[in-house]
Amino acid sequence: MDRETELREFVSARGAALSRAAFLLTGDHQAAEDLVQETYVVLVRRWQRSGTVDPEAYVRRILYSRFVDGWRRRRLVELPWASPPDSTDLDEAGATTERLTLRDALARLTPKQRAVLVLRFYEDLTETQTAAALGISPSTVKSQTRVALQRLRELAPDAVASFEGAES
Amino acid sequence: MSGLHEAFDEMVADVPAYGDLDRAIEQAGRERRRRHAMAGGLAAAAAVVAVIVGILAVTRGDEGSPEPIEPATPTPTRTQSARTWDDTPVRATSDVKGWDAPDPLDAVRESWFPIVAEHLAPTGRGLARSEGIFGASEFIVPNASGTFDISGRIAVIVDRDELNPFDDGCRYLRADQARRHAQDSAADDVSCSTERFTAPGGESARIASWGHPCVTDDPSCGTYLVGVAVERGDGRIGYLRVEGRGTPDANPFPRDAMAAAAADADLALPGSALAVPTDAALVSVVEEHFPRHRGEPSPSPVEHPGYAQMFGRLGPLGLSVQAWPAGPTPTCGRAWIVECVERRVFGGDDPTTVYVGSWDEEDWADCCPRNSRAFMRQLVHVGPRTTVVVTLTRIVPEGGAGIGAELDQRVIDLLLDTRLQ
Repeated sequence: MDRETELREFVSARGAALSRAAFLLTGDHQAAEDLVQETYVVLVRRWQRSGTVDPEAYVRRILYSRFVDGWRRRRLVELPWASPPDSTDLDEAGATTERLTLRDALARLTPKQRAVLVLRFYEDLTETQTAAALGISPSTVKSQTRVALQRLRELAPDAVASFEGAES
Repeated sequence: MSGLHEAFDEMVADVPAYGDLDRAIEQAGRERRRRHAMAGGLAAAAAVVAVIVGILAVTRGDEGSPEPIEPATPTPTRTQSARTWDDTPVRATSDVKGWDAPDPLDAVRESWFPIVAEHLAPTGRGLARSEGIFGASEFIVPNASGTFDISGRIAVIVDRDELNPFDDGCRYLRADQARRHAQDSAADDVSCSTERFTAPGGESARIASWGHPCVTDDPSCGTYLVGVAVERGDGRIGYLRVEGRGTPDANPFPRDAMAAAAADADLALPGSALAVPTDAALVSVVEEHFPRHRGEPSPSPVEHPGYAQMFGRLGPLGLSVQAWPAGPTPTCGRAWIVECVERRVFGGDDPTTVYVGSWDEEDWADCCPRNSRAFMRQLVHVGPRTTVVVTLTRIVPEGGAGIGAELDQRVIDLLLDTRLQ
């Protein structure tokens, strides 16, 4: 099998999964499309240079690192909320009464937090594998996961309550 | 948390397969040809100025190259020797990875924001300053109902001989888009139109509108860029670019308001900005010091005086150089630090200081190569007119060596080259 055929077969087999991961990361069809296309360009460059790359690990590394590191440069700025919106009404317990969907809540996490959640709970990677995909330490993965889940609980308690209970 | 996996599955149930491999292959081929052309001496065409200090991304993908780094080269502009260096350790006080060297023009560019906001504010949209990046002032229009905001960029352009938004319209926007995104800006589904008009103040102006639709059927899905350039009375080009989601019709700012903002004479830069070399001049000096250096395209737009940068490779190393007007002494960043020193490179009668540091980021990846680390050596000189920063990067395999001091003398020769001052 020639190298281009190998590349096409890999993309054919993995393209849909990459697209779904890109959509979870970006929450936006256009942004996901751009991210996947950028990933393909980088993958092709690497493929043309060397046949030794592990395509699965490499393409994941490209997709996630471009999202986390590169998205800021594109000036498509995430909503800069580091904590739940403070303009919403508070109920008697002091908790925000705003109820977001899971998708909206994801959009309000930092890129790295979103990436950690998608890798851990969609791609089902271990902390070590997630750390490798993002180029960060396992302890950072652990802390980012904890913070991201807490933010989801704050931002979308109804959505989170619907699936929580089987937390590992 | 298996329930989260199922919730994610529901969210992506209707997501189509994105991306076009044929386009990616074509684009990679074009980029390869362009890099070869640049290595052959056409790098000067890259020109003008850009944004974003790229560090490790520049080096990814070529790690472990067996190429030799560089033979000895001439052109030290001043005698200096490792034998006369006098190093003093510097405490790390900044949170960054690398030297934190302030750009005095940041404050000037920040002052542009309220000027532009005043011209655009009548649209009723709330502008907010976004995180500053090198070479321009930027703002956002927060989008309460979606993930992405509208973003804007304000620039003043001097070099009319280079590709610029006033003379080149769509060609400039396409190049801008292609640089910032690894995207094929010449693809069939991309549209761009341009039109000349007279700004409210009577200046000659040009608007260019670029759009790229989604693969989905949603007509509102896509990315647009709208750039308005005005030929101002001082001969410079004032430029305002807006980027957002949807088609160019979704741009909330009227053409005339954008033109009035771009024409405002208060969007100005001090003379120190013009003393900074152009990208082309910087590349030329770097190539003289490192003849085997191979240039790579800048990942950001090129349009501004007061900031210059170049990216490239030196054998297995990534090499980037940035320059901006001289400012305060840099501070050492503590993230992944190995060491920072203040180095006197001339004798006691003629002290000249270069700041030298190394950073070693562990746990970079478990592949490509296995258990790799990201090593960086950065040297900074704050000269009489310009701050110059040289960054060497290398992805180091498990057990591999980082970047030693072997190139320090030649990098210091480059930093002290009077053509950069």
